Amino acid sequence: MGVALMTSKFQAMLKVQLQMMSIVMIGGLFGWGVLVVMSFLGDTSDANGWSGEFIGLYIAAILGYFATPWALGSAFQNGVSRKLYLQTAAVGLVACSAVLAGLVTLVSLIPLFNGTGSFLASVYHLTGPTGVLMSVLLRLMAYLAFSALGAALGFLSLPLSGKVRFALVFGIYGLMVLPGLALVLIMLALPDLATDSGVLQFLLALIGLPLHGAPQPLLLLLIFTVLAVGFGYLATRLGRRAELNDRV
Amino acid sequence: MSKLEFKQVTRNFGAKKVLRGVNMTWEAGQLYGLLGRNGAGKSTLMKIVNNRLFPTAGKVLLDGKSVTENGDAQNRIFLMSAAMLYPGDSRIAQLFTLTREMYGSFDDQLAAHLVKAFGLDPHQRFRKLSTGYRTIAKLIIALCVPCEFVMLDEPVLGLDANNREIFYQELADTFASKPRTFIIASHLIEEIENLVTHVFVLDGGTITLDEDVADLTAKGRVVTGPTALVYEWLGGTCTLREVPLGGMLTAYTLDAPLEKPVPAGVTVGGMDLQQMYLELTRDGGGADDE
Repeated sequence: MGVALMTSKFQAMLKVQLQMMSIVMIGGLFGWGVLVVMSFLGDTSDANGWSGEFIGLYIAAILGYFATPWALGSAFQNGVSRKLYLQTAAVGLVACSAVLAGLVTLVSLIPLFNGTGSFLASVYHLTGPTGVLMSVLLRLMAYLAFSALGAALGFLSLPLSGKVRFALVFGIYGLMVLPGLALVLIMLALPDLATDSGVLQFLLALIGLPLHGAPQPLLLLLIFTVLAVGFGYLATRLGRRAELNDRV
Repeated sequence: MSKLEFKQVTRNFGAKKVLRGVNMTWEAGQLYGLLGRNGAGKSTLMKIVNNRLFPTAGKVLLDGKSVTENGDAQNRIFLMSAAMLYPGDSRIAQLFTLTREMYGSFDDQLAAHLVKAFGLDPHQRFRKLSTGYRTIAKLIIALCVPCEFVMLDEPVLGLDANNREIFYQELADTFASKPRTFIIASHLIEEIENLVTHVFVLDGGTITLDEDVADLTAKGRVVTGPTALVYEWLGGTCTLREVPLGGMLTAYTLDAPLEKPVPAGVTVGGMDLQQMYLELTRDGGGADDE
Protein backbone atom coordinates (compact mmCIF):
# COMPACT_ATOMS: atom_id res chain seq x y z
CA MET A 1 0.00 0.00 0.00
CA GLY A 2 2.72 2.45 1.08
CA VAL A 3 4.94 1.70 -1.94
CA ALA A 4 1.96 1.88 -4.33
CA LEU A 5 0.97 5.24 -2.87
CA MET A 6 4.52 6.56 -3.14
CA THR A 7 4.65 5.44 -6.79
CA SER A 8 1.29 7.09 -7.43
CA LYS A 9 2.52 10.22 -5.64
CA PHE A 10 5.72 10.23 -7.71
CA GLN A 11 3.71 10.02 -10.93
CA ALA A 12 1.26 12.70 -9.82
CA MET A 13 4.08 15.04 -8.76
CA LEU A 14 5.96 14.39 -12.00
CA LYS A 15 2.81 15.31 -13.92
CA VAL A 16 2.64 18.62 -12.04
CA GLN A 17 6.35 19.27 -12.70
CA LEU A 18 5.88 18.61 -16.42
CA GLN A 19 2.77 20.79 -16.46
CA MET A 20 4.82 23.70 -15.09
CA MET A 21 7.79 22.97 -17.33
CA SER A 22 5.60 22.79 -20.42
CA ILE A 23 4.65 26.46 -19.89
CA VAL A 24 8.32 27.47 -20.09
CA MET A 25 9.04 25.02 -22.93
CA ILE A 26 6.17 26.30 -25.08
CA GLY A 27 7.10 29.95 -24.48
CA GLY A 28 10.80 29.33 -25.05
CA LEU A 29 10.36 27.17 -28.11
CA PHE A 30 8.12 29.83 -29.62
CA GLY A 31 11.07 32.25 -29.45
CA TRP A 32 13.38 29.62 -30.85
CA GLY A 33 10.83 28.89 -33.61
CA VAL A 34 10.87 32.56 -34.65
CA LEU A 35 14.63 32.26 -35.07
CA VAL A 36 14.25 29.14 -37.18
CA VAL A 37 11.67 30.88 -39.39
CA MET A 38 13.97 33.91 -39.75
CA SER A 39 16.71 31.56 -40.84
CA PHE A 40 14.35 29.96 -43.36
CA LEU A 41 13.57 33.41 -44.77
CA GLY A 42 17.21 33.96 -45.61
CA ASP A 43 18.97 35.30 -42.53
CA THR A 44 22.11 33.22 -42.54
CA SER A 45 24.26 35.29 -40.20
CA ASP A 46 26.49 33.61 -37.67
CA ALA A 47 24.41 35.31 -35.02
CA ASN A 48 21.66 32.80 -35.79
CA GLY A 49 23.97 29.96 -34.95
CA TRP A 50 24.91 31.60 -31.66
CA SER A 51 21.33 32.56 -30.83
CA GLY A 52 20.07 29.06 -31.56
CA GLU A 53 22.47 27.65 -29.00
CA PHE A 54 21.84 30.35 -26.43
CA ILE A 55 18.05 30.15 -26.64
CA GLY A 56 18.32 26.46 -25.83
CA LEU A 57 20.54 27.23 -22.83
CA TYR A 58 18.23 30.00 -21.72
CA ILE A 59 15.14 27.79 -21.88
CA ALA A 60 16.99 25.22 -19.79
CA ALA A 61 18.01 27.84 -17.22
CA ILE A 62 14.47 29.21 -16.95
CA LEU A 63 13.10 25.67 -16.62
CA GLY A 64 15.20 25.33 -13.50
CA TYR A 65 14.72 28.88 -12.25
CA PHE A 66 10.96 29.31 -12.60
CA ALA A 67 9.26 26.02 -13.39
CA THR A 68 10.98 24.02 -10.65
CA PRO A 69 10.06 26.31 -7.72
CA TRP A 70 6.55 26.73 -9.21
CA ALA A 71 5.85 23.08 -8.53
CA LEU A 72 6.96 23.47 -4.92
CA GLY A 73 3.51 24.84 -4.00
CA SER A 74 1.76 21.71 -5.23
CA ALA A 75 4.30 19.57 -3.41
CA PHE A 76 3.63 21.35 -0.12
CA GLN A 77 -0.13 21.28 -0.62
CA ASN A 78 -0.14 17.54 -1.26
CA GLY A 79 2.24 16.35 1.43
CA VAL A 80 5.07 15.58 -0.98
CA SER A 81 8.45 15.45 0.72
CA ARG A 82 11.22 17.66 -0.63
CA LYS A 83 13.15 14.53 -1.55
CA LEU A 84 10.35 13.21 -3.77
CA TYR A 85 9.74 16.68 -5.16
CA LEU A 86 13.43 17.02 -6.13
CA GLN A 87 13.45 13.54 -7.69
CA THR A 88 10.51 14.45 -9.91
CA ALA A 89 12.09 17.81 -10.73
CA ALA A 90 15.26 16.01 -11.83
CA VAL A 91 13.30 13.59 -14.02
CA GLY A 92 11.35 16.48 -15.53
CA LEU A 93 14.47 18.51 -16.24
CA VAL A 94 16.24 15.53 -17.83
CA ALA A 95 13.17 14.86 -20.01
CA CYS A 96 12.86 18.51 -21.09
CA SER A 97 16.63 18.78 -21.70
CA ALA A 98 16.54 15.62 -23.85
CA VAL A 99 13.63 16.99 -25.90
CA LEU A 100 15.41 20.32 -26.31
CA ALA A 101 18.72 18.69 -27.26
CA GLY A 102 17.00 16.44 -29.77
CA LEU A 103 14.99 19.25 -31.31
CA VAL A 104 17.85 21.75 -31.63
CA THR A 105 20.17 19.11 -33.10
CA LEU A 106 17.47 17.87 -35.47
CA VAL A 107 16.75 21.34 -36.84
CA SER A 108 20.46 22.09 -37.14
CA LEU A 109 20.72 19.12 -39.51
CA ILE A 110 18.08 20.41 -41.90
CA PRO A 111 19.80 22.46 -44.62
CA LEU A 112 16.54 24.29 -45.34
CA PHE A 113 16.97 26.20 -42.11
CA ASN A 114 20.42 27.48 -43.04
CA GLY A 115 22.09 25.69 -40.24
CA THR A 116 20.24 27.34 -37.35
CA GLY A 117 21.69 25.92 -34.22
CA SER A 118 24.60 24.34 -36.06
CA PHE A 119 27.10 26.58 -34.33
CA LEU A 120 28.21 23.86 -31.97
CA ALA A 121 28.72 21.34 -34.79
CA SER A 122 30.71 23.74 -36.94
CA VAL A 123 33.00 25.02 -34.19
CA TYR A 124 33.80 21.55 -32.91
CA HIS A 125 33.81 19.90 -36.35
CA LEU A 126 31.06 17.47 -35.39
CA THR A 127 30.15 15.61 -38.56
CA GLY A 128 28.63 12.26 -39.40
CA PRO A 129 26.57 10.05 -37.08
CA THR A 130 29.21 10.28 -34.31
CA GLY A 131 29.20 14.04 -34.61
CA VAL A 132 25.40 14.16 -34.37
CA LEU A 133 25.49 11.93 -31.32
CA MET A 134 28.17 14.12 -29.74
CA SER A 135 26.09 17.25 -30.53
CA VAL A 136 23.08 15.75 -28.77
CA LEU A 137 25.20 14.69 -25.80
CA LEU A 138 26.91 18.07 -25.52
CA ARG A 139 23.60 19.90 -25.66
CA LEU A 140 21.96 17.53 -23.20
CA MET A 141 24.72 18.00 -20.63
CA ALA A 142 24.82 21.75 -21.25
CA TYR A 143 21.06 22.04 -20.76
CA LEU A 144 21.24 19.92 -17.64
CA ALA A 145 24.03 22.09 -16.25
CA PHE A 146 22.10 25.28 -16.94
CA SER A 147 18.78 23.95 -15.66
CA ALA A 148 20.53 22.83 -12.47
CA LEU A 149 22.14 26.27 -12.15
CA GLY A 150 18.72 27.83 -12.75
CA ALA A 151 17.13 25.62 -10.09
CA ALA A 152 19.88 26.47 -7.59
CA LEU A 153 19.40 30.19 -8.25
CA GLY A 154 15.64 29.66 -8.08
CA PHE A 155 15.81 28.14 -4.60
CA LEU A 156 18.40 30.66 -3.47
CA SER A 157 16.27 33.61 -4.58
CA LEU A 158 12.96 32.29 -3.20
CA PRO A 159 13.01 34.64 -0.20
CA LEU A 160 13.47 37.65 -2.51
CA SER A 161 10.57 39.70 -3.84
CA GLY A 162 8.81 38.75 -7.07
CA LYS A 163 10.22 41.78 -8.89
CA VAL A 164 13.77 40.96 -7.89
CA ARG A 165 13.26 37.35 -8.94
CA PHE A 166 11.96 38.47 -12.29
CA ALA A 167 14.88 40.88 -12.72
CA LEU A 168 17.21 37.98 -12.02
CA VAL A 169 15.93 36.32 -15.19
CA PHE A 170 17.92 38.91 -17.09
CA GLY A 171 20.81 38.30 -14.72
CA ILE A 172 20.76 34.63 -15.64
CA TYR A 173 20.74 35.54 -19.31
CA GLY A 174 23.65 37.90 -18.76
CA LEU A 175 25.50 35.25 -16.82
CA MET A 176 25.16 32.84 -19.73
CA VAL A 177 25.54 35.12 -22.71
CA LEU A 178 27.89 37.88 -21.68
CA PRO A 179 31.06 35.81 -21.16
CA GLY A 180 30.63 34.09 -24.52
CA LEU A 181 29.65 37.31 -26.25
CA ALA A 182 32.62 39.14 -24.73
CA LEU A 183 34.93 36.41 -25.98
CA VAL A 184 33.52 36.60 -29.50
CA LEU A 185 33.71 40.40 -29.60
CA ILE A 186 37.29 40.39 -28.37
CA MET A 187 38.27 37.81 -30.96
CA LEU A 188 36.51 39.74 -33.73
CA ALA A 189 38.00 43.09 -32.70
CA LEU A 190 41.48 41.75 -32.07
CA PRO A 191 41.99 38.77 -34.38
CA ASP A 192 45.67 38.48 -33.43
CA LEU A 193 44.95 38.44 -29.74
CA ALA A 194 44.36 34.73 -29.65
CA THR A 195 47.87 34.10 -30.93
CA ASP A 196 49.36 36.73 -28.61
CA SER A 197 47.38 36.22 -25.45
CA GLY A 198 48.30 33.27 -23.31
CA VAL A 199 45.18 33.76 -21.20
CA LEU A 200 42.85 33.62 -24.19
CA GLN A 201 44.66 30.57 -25.54
CA PHE A 202 44.28 28.95 -22.17
CA LEU A 203 40.56 29.76 -22.04
CA LEU A 204 39.96 28.40 -25.51
CA ALA A 205 41.97 25.29 -24.77
CA LEU A 206 39.95 24.85 -21.62
CA ILE A 207 36.78 24.38 -23.61
CA GLY A 208 38.47 22.09 -26.10
CA LEU A 209 39.33 24.71 -28.72
CA PRO A 210 43.12 24.81 -28.87
CA LEU A 211 44.57 27.36 -31.27
CA HIS A 212 46.77 24.89 -33.10
CA GLY A 213 45.17 21.49 -33.14
CA ALA A 214 41.91 19.66 -33.57
CA PRO A 215 39.00 20.73 -31.34
CA GLN A 216 38.34 18.42 -28.42
CA PRO A 217 34.57 18.17 -27.89
CA LEU A 218 35.13 15.54 -25.21
CA LEU A 219 36.76 18.23 -23.09
CA LEU A 220 33.65 20.40 -23.43
CA LEU A 221 31.47 17.40 -22.60
CA LEU A 222 33.52 16.80 -19.49
CA ILE A 223 33.13 20.46 -18.45
CA PHE A 224 29.35 20.33 -18.92
CA THR A 225 29.15 17.05 -17.04
CA VAL A 226 31.12 18.45 -14.11
CA LEU A 227 28.96 21.59 -14.13
CA ALA A 228 25.74 19.53 -14.32
CA VAL A 229 26.81 17.38 -11.37
CA GLY A 230 28.08 20.38 -9.39
CA PHE A 231 25.07 22.61 -9.96
CA GLY A 232 22.78 19.60 -9.51
CA TYR A 233 24.33 18.96 -6.11
CA LEU A 234 23.97 22.64 -5.20
CA ALA A 235 20.32 22.74 -6.33
CA THR A 236 19.57 19.61 -4.31
CA ARG A 237 21.22 21.06 -1.21
CA LEU A 238 19.21 24.27 -1.51
CA GLY A 239 15.99 22.48 -2.49
CA ARG A 240 16.17 20.22 0.57
CA ARG A 241 15.99 23.35 2.74
CA ALA A 242 13.28 25.13 0.72
CA GLU A 243 10.32 26.39 2.72
CA LEU A 244 6.93 27.79 1.84
CA ASN A 245 6.78 31.54 1.39
CA ASP A 246 4.84 34.05 -0.68
CA ARG A 247 6.98 33.32 -3.75
CA VAL A 248 6.04 29.63 -3.89
CA MET B 1 -5.03 5.17 18.09
CA SER B 2 -2.93 7.65 16.16
CA LYS B 3 -1.73 10.83 17.78
CA LEU B 4 0.32 13.86 16.89
CA GLU B 5 2.65 15.04 19.59
CA PHE B 6 4.39 18.41 19.74
CA LYS B 7 7.63 18.36 21.68
CA GLN B 8 9.14 21.76 22.45
CA VAL B 9 8.40 23.01 18.93
CA THR B 10 10.22 26.27 18.36
CA ARG B 11 10.40 28.44 15.29
CA ASN B 12 12.30 31.66 14.77
CA PHE B 13 12.15 33.98 11.78
CA GLY B 14 15.48 35.77 12.07
CA ALA B 15 15.50 37.36 15.53
CA LYS B 16 11.72 36.99 15.85
CA LYS B 17 10.67 34.06 18.03
CA VAL B 18 7.22 33.02 16.84
CA LEU B 19 6.97 29.65 18.59
CA ARG B 20 8.74 29.15 21.91
CA GLY B 21 8.61 25.49 22.81
CA VAL B 22 5.07 24.36 22.00
CA ASN B 23 3.95 21.17 23.73
CA MET B 24 0.58 19.53 23.09
CA THR B 25 -1.02 16.36 21.75
CA TRP B 26 -3.67 15.91 19.10
CA GLU B 27 -5.57 12.65 19.54
CA ALA B 28 -7.42 10.72 16.85
CA GLY B 29 -11.10 11.42 16.20
CA GLN B 30 -11.28 14.86 17.78
CA LEU B 31 -12.51 18.28 16.69
CA TYR B 32 -10.00 20.78 17.99
CA GLY B 33 -10.02 24.55 17.96
CA LEU B 34 -6.64 26.27 17.73
CA LEU B 35 -7.10 29.82 18.89
CA GLY B 36 -4.73 32.73 19.07
CA ARG B 37 -4.44 36.35 18.14
CA ASN B 38 -3.06 37.57 14.82
CA GLY B 39 0.57 36.61 14.59
CA ALA B 40 0.37 34.19 17.52
CA GLY B 41 1.94 31.45 15.39
CA LYS B 42 -1.07 29.25 14.52
CA SER B 43 -0.30 29.19 10.81
CA THR B 44 3.40 28.64 11.46
CA LEU B 45 2.59 25.70 13.71
CA MET B 46 0.33 24.10 11.11
CA LYS B 47 2.89 24.65 8.36
CA ILE B 48 5.48 22.84 10.49
CA VAL B 49 3.09 19.89 10.90
CA ASN B 50 2.55 19.82 7.13
CA ASN B 51 6.30 19.99 6.40
CA ARG B 52 6.01 23.38 4.69
CA LEU B 53 8.32 24.89 7.30
CA PHE B 54 11.07 23.35 9.38
CA PRO B 55 11.03 23.78 13.15
CA THR B 56 14.02 25.68 14.48
CA ALA B 57 14.02 23.25 17.40
CA GLY B 58 11.78 20.54 18.76
CA LYS B 59 9.76 17.90 16.93
CA VAL B 60 6.29 16.99 15.77
CA LEU B 61 5.76 13.25 16.02
CA LEU B 62 3.06 11.14 14.40
CA ASP B 63 2.85 7.85 16.26
CA GLY B 64 6.36 8.45 17.55
CA LYS B 65 7.96 9.32 14.20
CA SER B 66 8.93 12.81 13.10
CA VAL B 67 6.63 14.27 10.44
CA THR B 68 9.40 16.40 8.96
CA GLU B 69 10.34 15.10 5.48
CA ASN B 70 8.40 11.95 6.28
CA GLY B 71 6.38 10.97 3.20
CA ASP B 72 4.37 8.27 5.00
CA ALA B 73 3.39 10.64 7.78
CA GLN B 74 2.50 13.41 5.35
CA ASN B 75 0.13 11.05 3.52
CA ARG B 76 -1.93 11.06 6.72
CA ILE B 77 -1.88 14.83 7.29
CA PHE B 78 -3.59 17.56 5.28
CA LEU B 79 -3.49 21.32 5.63
CA MET B 80 -6.00 23.63 4.04
CA SER B 81 -4.74 27.20 4.29
CA ALA B 82 -5.22 30.60 2.71
CA ALA B 83 -2.16 30.09 0.47
CA MET B 84 -2.92 29.47 -3.19
CA LEU B 85 -0.71 26.48 -3.87
CA TYR B 86 -2.68 24.65 -6.53
CA PRO B 87 -1.81 25.21 -10.19
CA GLY B 88 -4.05 28.18 -11.03
CA ASP B 89 -4.91 26.96 -14.52
CA SER B 90 -6.24 23.63 -13.30
CA ARG B 91 -9.97 23.05 -13.26
CA ILE B 92 -11.57 22.10 -9.95
CA ALA B 93 -12.35 18.58 -11.18
CA GLN B 94 -8.66 18.21 -12.13
CA LEU B 95 -7.67 19.25 -8.61
CA PHE B 96 -9.91 16.50 -7.22
CA THR B 97 -8.13 14.03 -9.53
CA LEU B 98 -4.73 15.38 -8.51
CA THR B 99 -5.64 14.96 -4.83
CA ARG B 100 -6.78 11.39 -5.47
CA GLU B 101 -3.50 10.60 -7.22
CA MET B 102 -1.49 12.20 -4.44
CA TYR B 103 -3.30 10.61 -1.49
CA GLY B 104 -4.42 7.32 -3.04
CA SER B 105 -8.15 7.96 -2.73
CA PHE B 106 -10.73 10.72 -2.60
CA ASP B 107 -14.36 10.77 -1.48
CA ASP B 108 -15.95 11.45 -4.88
CA GLN B 109 -19.45 10.98 -3.55
CA LEU B 110 -19.00 13.60 -0.85
CA ALA B 111 -17.23 15.92 -3.30
CA ALA B 112 -20.17 15.71 -5.71
CA HIS B 113 -22.56 16.44 -2.85
CA LEU B 114 -20.50 19.42 -1.62
CA VAL B 115 -20.07 20.85 -5.12
CA LYS B 116 -23.85 20.88 -5.40
CA ALA B 117 -24.42 22.19 -1.87
CA PHE B 118 -22.06 25.13 -2.38
CA GLY B 119 -23.01 25.72 -6.01
CA LEU B 120 -19.43 25.37 -7.25
CA ASP B 121 -18.76 24.79 -10.94
CA PRO B 122 -16.22 21.91 -11.07
CA HIS B 123 -15.26 22.82 -14.64
CA GLN B 124 -14.15 26.30 -13.64
CA ARG B 125 -10.44 27.05 -13.48
CA PHE B 126 -9.13 27.58 -9.93
CA ARG B 127 -7.55 30.95 -10.80
CA LYS B 128 -10.83 32.33 -12.11
CA LEU B 129 -12.79 31.69 -8.92
CA SER B 130 -13.62 34.45 -6.44
CA THR B 131 -11.85 34.41 -3.07
CA GLY B 132 -14.87 32.77 -1.46
CA TYR B 133 -15.16 30.04 -4.07
CA ARG B 134 -11.43 29.33 -3.96
CA THR B 135 -11.91 28.74 -0.24
CA ILE B 136 -14.90 26.51 -0.99
CA ALA B 137 -12.89 24.47 -3.52
CA LYS B 138 -10.10 24.00 -0.96
CA LEU B 139 -12.62 23.11 1.76
CA ILE B 140 -14.21 20.44 -0.43
CA ILE B 141 -10.79 18.90 -1.04
CA ALA B 142 -10.01 19.04 2.68
CA LEU B 143 -13.24 17.27 3.59
CA CYS B 144 -12.82 14.58 0.93
CA VAL B 145 -9.12 13.77 1.38
CA PRO B 146 -8.44 10.43 3.13
CA CYS B 147 -6.24 11.87 5.90
CA GLU B 148 -6.46 11.19 9.60
CA PHE B 149 -5.44 14.70 10.60
CA VAL B 150 -6.99 17.58 8.67
CA MET B 151 -5.93 21.10 9.62
CA LEU B 152 -8.16 23.96 8.52
CA ASP B 153 -6.42 27.32 8.80
CA GLU B 154 -9.01 30.11 8.59
CA PRO B 155 -11.41 27.79 6.74
CA VAL B 156 -14.16 30.35 6.17
CA LEU B 157 -12.02 33.14 4.73
CA GLY B 158 -14.17 35.09 2.25
CA LEU B 159 -17.25 32.91 2.78
CA ASP B 160 -20.66 34.55 3.22
CA ALA B 161 -22.88 33.61 6.16
CA ASN B 162 -24.87 31.07 4.14
CA ASN B 163 -21.81 29.22 2.91
CA ARG B 164 -20.28 29.30 6.38
CA GLU B 165 -23.43 27.68 7.69
CA ILE B 166 -23.26 24.99 4.99
CA PHE B 167 -19.60 24.34 5.78
CA TYR B 168 -20.12 23.95 9.54
CA GLN B 169 -23.04 21.58 8.94
CA GLU B 170 -21.14 19.51 6.37
CA LEU B 171 -18.08 19.35 8.63
CA ALA B 172 -20.22 18.08 11.50
CA ASP B 173 -21.90 15.53 9.22
CA THR B 174 -18.69 14.15 7.72
CA PHE B 175 -17.08 14.02 11.16
CA ALA B 176 -20.04 12.03 12.47
CA SER B 177 -20.05 9.60 9.55
CA LYS B 178 -16.28 9.20 9.29
CA PRO B 179 -14.50 10.35 12.44
CA ARG B 180 -11.01 11.75 11.99
CA THR B 181 -9.22 14.66 13.59
CA PHE B 182 -9.99 18.18 12.46
CA ILE B 183 -8.03 21.12 13.79
CA ILE B 184 -9.68 24.46 13.10
CA ALA B 185 -7.78 27.71 13.46
CA SER B 186 -10.28 30.53 13.28
CA HIS B 187 -10.94 33.98 14.65
CA LEU B 188 -14.69 33.41 14.41
CA ILE B 189 -14.82 31.74 17.81
CA GLU B 190 -18.56 32.11 18.29
CA GLU B 191 -19.13 30.15 15.11
CA ILE B 192 -16.92 27.20 16.02
CA GLU B 193 -17.77 27.12 19.73
CA ASN B 194 -20.47 24.52 19.28
CA LEU B 195 -18.40 22.52 16.82
CA VAL B 196 -15.10 21.93 18.59
CA THR B 197 -14.75 19.76 21.66
CA HIS B 198 -11.34 20.89 22.85
CA VAL B 199 -9.42 24.13 22.49
CA PHE B 200 -5.79 25.11 22.48
CA VAL B 201 -4.89 28.76 22.91
CA LEU B 202 -1.57 29.82 21.45
CA ASP B 203 -0.30 33.00 23.02
CA GLY B 204 3.18 34.44 23.22
CA GLY B 205 4.54 31.48 21.29
CA THR B 206 3.36 28.83 23.74
CA ILE B 207 0.16 26.93 24.52
CA THR B 208 -1.51 28.80 27.34
CA LEU B 209 -4.74 26.81 27.41
CA ASP B 210 -5.37 23.13 26.61
CA GLU B 211 -8.83 22.17 27.76
CA ASP B 212 -12.17 20.62 26.80
CA VAL B 213 -14.72 23.22 25.80
CA ALA B 214 -17.32 21.71 28.12
CA ASP B 215 -15.00 21.96 31.14
CA LEU B 216 -13.95 25.44 30.18
CA THR B 217 -17.42 26.86 29.76
CA ALA B 218 -18.47 25.17 33.00
CA LYS B 219 -15.63 26.95 34.82
CA GLY B 220 -15.79 30.39 33.26
CA ARG B 221 -17.76 32.89 35.29
CA VAL B 222 -18.48 36.62 35.15
CA VAL B 223 -19.09 38.01 38.61
CA THR B 224 -20.74 41.44 38.85
CA GLY B 225 -21.78 43.50 41.85
CA PRO B 226 -20.62 46.03 44.42
CA THR B 227 -16.83 45.92 44.57
CA ALA B 228 -16.57 44.96 48.24
CA LEU B 229 -19.14 42.17 47.94
CA VAL B 230 -17.53 40.74 44.82
CA TYR B 231 -14.10 40.68 46.50
CA GLU B 232 -15.58 39.16 49.62
CA TRP B 233 -17.33 36.40 47.68
CA LEU B 234 -14.31 35.66 45.49
CA GLY B 235 -12.16 35.51 48.61
CA GLY B 236 -8.83 35.91 46.88
CA THR B 237 -9.72 33.72 43.92
CA CYS B 238 -7.50 34.30 40.89
CA THR B 239 -9.24 36.44 38.26
CA LEU B 240 -8.51 36.87 34.57
CA ARG B 241 -9.57 40.51 34.59
CA GLU B 242 -11.38 43.00 36.78
CA VAL B 243 -13.35 45.92 35.36
CA PRO B 244 -14.34 48.56 37.94
CA LEU B 245 -17.15 50.97 37.09
CA GLY B 246 -18.10 53.43 39.80
CA GLY B 247 -18.62 51.36 42.92
CA MET B 248 -19.30 48.24 40.90
CA LEU B 249 -16.90 45.56 39.77
CA THR B 250 -17.04 42.95 37.03
CA ALA B 251 -14.59 40.09 37.54
CA TYR B 252 -13.80 37.33 35.05
CA THR B 253 -12.63 34.09 36.58
CA LEU B 254 -12.15 30.40 35.92
CA ASP B 255 -12.12 29.54 39.62
CA ALA B 256 -15.35 30.97 41.04
CA PRO B 257 -16.15 29.52 44.51
CA LEU B 258 -19.49 28.16 43.35
CA GLU B 259 -19.88 26.16 46.54
CA LYS B 260 -20.33 29.42 48.50
CA PRO B 261 -23.72 31.15 48.56
CA VAL B 262 -23.83 34.21 46.32
CA PRO B 263 -24.49 37.39 48.32
CA ALA B 264 -27.48 39.56 47.48
CA GLY B 265 -26.55 42.19 44.88
CA VAL B 266 -23.91 39.98 43.24
CA THR B 267 -24.69 38.14 40.02
CA VAL B 268 -22.72 35.21 38.67
CA GLY B 269 -23.10 34.51 34.97
CA GLY B 270 -21.52 32.13 32.50
CA MET B 271 -18.76 33.03 30.09
CA ASP B 272 -18.87 31.86 26.49
CA LEU B 273 -15.76 30.65 24.70
CA GLN B 274 -15.20 33.91 22.86
CA GLN B 275 -15.36 35.97 26.05
CA MET B 276 -13.06 33.56 27.82
CA TYR B 277 -10.59 33.63 24.94
CA LEU B 278 -10.63 37.44 24.96
CA GLU B 279 -9.84 37.51 28.66
CA LEU B 280 -7.11 34.90 28.32
CA THR B 281 -5.33 36.64 25.45
CA ARG B 282 -6.04 40.27 26.28
CA ASP B 283 -2.41 41.10 27.07
CA GLY B 284 -0.93 38.72 24.55
CA GLY B 285 -0.66 38.79 20.79
CA GLY B 286 2.31 38.04 18.69
CA ALA B 287 4.51 39.00 15.86
CA ASP B 288 3.26 38.63 12.33
CA ASP B 289 4.13 35.07 11.37
CA GLU B 290 3.17 35.25 7.72
